[in-house]
Amino acid sequence: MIVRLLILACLLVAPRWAFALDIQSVKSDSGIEIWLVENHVNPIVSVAFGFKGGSGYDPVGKEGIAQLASGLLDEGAGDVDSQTFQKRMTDRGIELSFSAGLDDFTGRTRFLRDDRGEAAELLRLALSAPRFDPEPVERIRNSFLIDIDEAESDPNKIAGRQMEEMMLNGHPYARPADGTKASMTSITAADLKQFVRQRFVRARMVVSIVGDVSVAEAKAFVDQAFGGLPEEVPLAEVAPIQPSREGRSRVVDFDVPQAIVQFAEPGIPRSDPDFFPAYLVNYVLGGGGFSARLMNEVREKRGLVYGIGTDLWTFDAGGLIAGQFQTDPGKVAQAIEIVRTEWRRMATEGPTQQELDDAKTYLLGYYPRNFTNTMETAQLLRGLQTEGLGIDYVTRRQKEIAAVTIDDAKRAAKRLFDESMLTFVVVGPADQIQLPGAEVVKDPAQN
Amino acid sequence: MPITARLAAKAAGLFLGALLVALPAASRADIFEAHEFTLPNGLDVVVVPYHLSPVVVQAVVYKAGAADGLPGKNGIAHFLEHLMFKGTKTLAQGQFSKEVDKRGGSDNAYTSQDVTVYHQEIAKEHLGLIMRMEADRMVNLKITDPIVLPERDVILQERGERIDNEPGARLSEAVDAVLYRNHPYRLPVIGWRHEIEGYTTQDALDFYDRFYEPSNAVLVVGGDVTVEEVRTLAEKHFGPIPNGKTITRQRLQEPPPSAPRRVALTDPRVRQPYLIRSYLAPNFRTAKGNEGYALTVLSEILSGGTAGRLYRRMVIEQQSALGIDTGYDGGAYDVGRFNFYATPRQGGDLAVAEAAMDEQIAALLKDGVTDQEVADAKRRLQIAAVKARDSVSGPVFIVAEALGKGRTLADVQAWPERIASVTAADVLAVAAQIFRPANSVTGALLPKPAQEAAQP
Repeated sequence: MIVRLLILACLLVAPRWAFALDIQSVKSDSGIEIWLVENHVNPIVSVAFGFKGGSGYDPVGKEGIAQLASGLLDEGAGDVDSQTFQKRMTDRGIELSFSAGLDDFTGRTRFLRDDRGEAAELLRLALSAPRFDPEPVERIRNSFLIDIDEAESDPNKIAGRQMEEMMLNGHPYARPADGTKASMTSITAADLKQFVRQRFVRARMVVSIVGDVSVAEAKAFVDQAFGGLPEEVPLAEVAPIQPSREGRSRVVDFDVPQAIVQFAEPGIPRSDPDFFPAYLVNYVLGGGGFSARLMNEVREKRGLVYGIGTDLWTFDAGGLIAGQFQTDPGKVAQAIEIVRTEWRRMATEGPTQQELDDAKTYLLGYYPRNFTNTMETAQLLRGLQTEGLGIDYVTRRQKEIAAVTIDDAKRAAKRLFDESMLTFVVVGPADQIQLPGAEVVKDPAQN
Repeated sequence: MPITARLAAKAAGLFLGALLVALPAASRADIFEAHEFTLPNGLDVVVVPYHLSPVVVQAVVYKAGAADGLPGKNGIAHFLEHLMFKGTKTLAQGQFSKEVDKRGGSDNAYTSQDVTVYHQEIAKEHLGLIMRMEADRMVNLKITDPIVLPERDVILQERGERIDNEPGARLSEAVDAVLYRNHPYRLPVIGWRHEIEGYTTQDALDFYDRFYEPSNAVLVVGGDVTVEEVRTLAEKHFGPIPNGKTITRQRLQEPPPSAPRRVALTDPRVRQPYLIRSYLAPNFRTAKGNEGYALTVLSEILSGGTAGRLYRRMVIEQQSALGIDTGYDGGAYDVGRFNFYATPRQGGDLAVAEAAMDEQIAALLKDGVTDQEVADAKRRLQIAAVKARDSVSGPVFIVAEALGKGRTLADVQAWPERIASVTAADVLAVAAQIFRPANSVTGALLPKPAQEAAQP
C-alpha cells in the first residue's frame, strides 16, 4: 500500500511547470503507446511500465504469487540461466526490478543509453520467457517465507493486518499481499508461468520513458521489450470494497515498549468529484506534516508522538482515509482523544480560508519537484497513464486545484470526515492501555 | 509529504556514506559539475547545477555531530537540530517549515556522529527565501523552556520508535558500544534515554554557541541555478554574519586493537536471526594512499549485486546462508568501518553462516582477488558514478557529507582516478590489514532462548 501512496502523492501536484515538461505520446511500430520525455543532460534512460493486476488479483489459495513473481523475473529467462542473467545486468549496470502493488504489477529499468539494446533484450526475456528454475524459485521463496514469519512478530505489520481485517473483512484487498506460509509454499513453477501468461498483456500495459533517447530509439526499445507480448487475456475485476462504518476499537495485547496506533474510516476513489477538496482537507488535518493540525496538536504542543499523519488511500476498488502514530502505552488514550476531537472539528467547521489557501499553494508549488531525476519522472508519468488521467492532465490539474473553494472544502469535510466511523487498532501492552469501549485480543503470534 | 521529520538519521549518514562509496566516475572526468567559493566570513559554498526541473535543493552542513558533544551529552547535537525549527528573533515557532510548505517545498534535517545537516527542496524562485531563513537561524536562534521541554518528550518518543521498539537497532547500539572502545562513536547519536531526560535549554544553546559559525559550515546548493545566482544570494544573506572563532574537533581516539569481541541480543520478537561483523578500517580522509578506494572496490567484488562473489558462493552454490552483504563506510571523520551481514537459511544455524563467512574471509586473505574481479568491479562503479548525476538532491548530499566530514571538493571530484588506480595487490594489502579478529566485533540477533535451544 505504501508504494501506492507515494504514487498518489505524485499525482496530486499542480501543473505550474507543465509547460516546461514536454510529454510526447508516441505509437511504436507494433502499436504500443509510449509517453516520452526526451532529456539529454546525462547519457541515462529510465523506463517505467506497469500492468493492471497486482496482489489484489492473486488467485485464492495462491496469495503472494505476484510478490514471488516480482522476485523471480530476473532470475533466468529463455536460454539464460539465473546467474548469467544477473551477470549480464550487473556487468552493464542495468537496473531492472519489479514490484507487486495491490492493483498493479509494475517494473522499472534504468541504464546507460548505449546499453539500451541489452536492457530491452533482458526485459523481453524477463516478461515473456522467465524460467522459474528450481534453485532460484526455492531461494526467493525462502526469503519471502522469512518475511512472512517476521511479519508475525512485527507490531506495525500486526496492526496493519488487524486493520485490514476490521475495515475490509472478506474483500480480496484484506488478504495478505505477501501470502501465508501455506499459500507461498503451494505456488509451483506452473502457477508462475500461468501468472505471466495472464498478467503480462498489452491491453493492460502502460509504459513511460524519460531520458537520453530519441523517438525512434524509444519506439525500438518498446517494440523489442514488449512487442511480442499477447494482446489480451481476460482478468476478472476486483469487486468494490465495502469498508466498515462501525467505528470499533481494538487493542492487540503485545509486549513492546511503545504502542502502535492505526486508524481508518471509509474514503473515496480517485474518480470521485470531491477528490481534490478531500485531498486538501486531509492535508490540513493530518497530511501536511508540520503544517497539519494533528502534528501541531499531538506532537508540537504536547510532545506525545514523534510523528503522526493521515493519508487518502485510493485503489481501483475504492478508498480509505487512514492514519498512524506511535506513543507510550500510557499516552495512547490521550492521543486518540485528540485525534477524535480534531476529526470532529474538521467535520463541523472545515478548514479556515488561510489553511485552505496554504494547502492549495503547497500542491501548486510542489509540481516541479516530481521531476528531479529521470526515473521519478518516468514513474510519475506511468502513474498518470495507469489512472487514465490523460496526457493533458498536467495542465488540467492546476485549474482544478485552484478552483476549489472554501465551500467545496467544507462540504467535503462534512461528507467524508466522520469521527464516529473511525476504527482504531492499538498494538501494545494491554494492561497499560486504558481505552474505553475497546475490545482486547491476544497477540495473534502467540496463538 | 513525510510524516516524520527532524530525523536522528544515523541511518541516513550511513546511507549517504554507502552512496558515496558507490560513486566513482569515468576516468579523467569530475564526478559532478561543481563550483566552489568561500565568503570572507569563512563560509564555504558549493554549487552543483542540474537543469532538469526548475527546482533547487539547499543543504547547510555544520561540522559538528553527536561525537562532538560533551561527556554525558552526546545527544545534544540531535536535540539542538530539533530546536532549530523552534524560531528565531524574527521567525515564530514552526514558521520556517510553514513558509517552505506553503510554497510546495519540503524541509528537514538530520544528525549523524560527525555532522548536522539542514536541507530544503523548493521551486527555484524561492531560493532567496530559504537562504535568508537558513542564515537567520545560524545566528538568531531563540528558544525557551516552554518550547524546549515538549520537544524533549518528542525525542524520547523518537527514541522509543526508532530504537527501543526495534531489536535490530538495539543490537547495532550494542555493537557500536564495544566496537569503539574509546572514541565517542560508541555512543548513540540520539543519546541514551536517561541522559536525554536531563537535557536542558542551556545545553542546546551551549552547543549552538560552540559550533554554529559560518566558518564551521558549508552551504551546498544544487539544481536549476548558476554559480552567479548563488553567489549573489549567499553574499546577501550569509555574508553579513560576522566571522566566528576557529573551531577544532577534539575527540578521544581509538587505541590499537587487542581482542575480538562478541555480543548477542535476544528478543522474543526476533524470527529471523542475523549476524553482523564489523571491522574498524581506514577512512577516506586520513587513509594512506588509496586504501579507502581499495576497500570500495573490495566491497563491490564481495557483494556488488547478486553477482558478487559472496552471494554466488555462499547463497547459490554452498547454500550456507540465505543472505550475505558487505558495506564499507569510509566517510567518517575519524575512523572507517567495514561490515558483513549474514542471514542463516530458514531454521538454520547462525554458526553455519558465520563459519562459511569466515571461510570466505580466509580464502580472500590467502588468494586475494583476481585482476578480472577488480576490472569488473571498477567498471560497475564507474557506471554507478555516471548515474549518480541523475538527481538534483543526490549530488548535494554527497558533497555536503564529504565536506562536512573534513574532505575537499577536489577529493570528491578525483574519485574516478583514485578508483582507477586500485590494483588486486592494493585490495589484498588492505584486506590483510583490517580483517584481523582482534579488530572486530561480531553481533548476533537471536530469537527467544527456547527456539534457540531447539536448534541442533
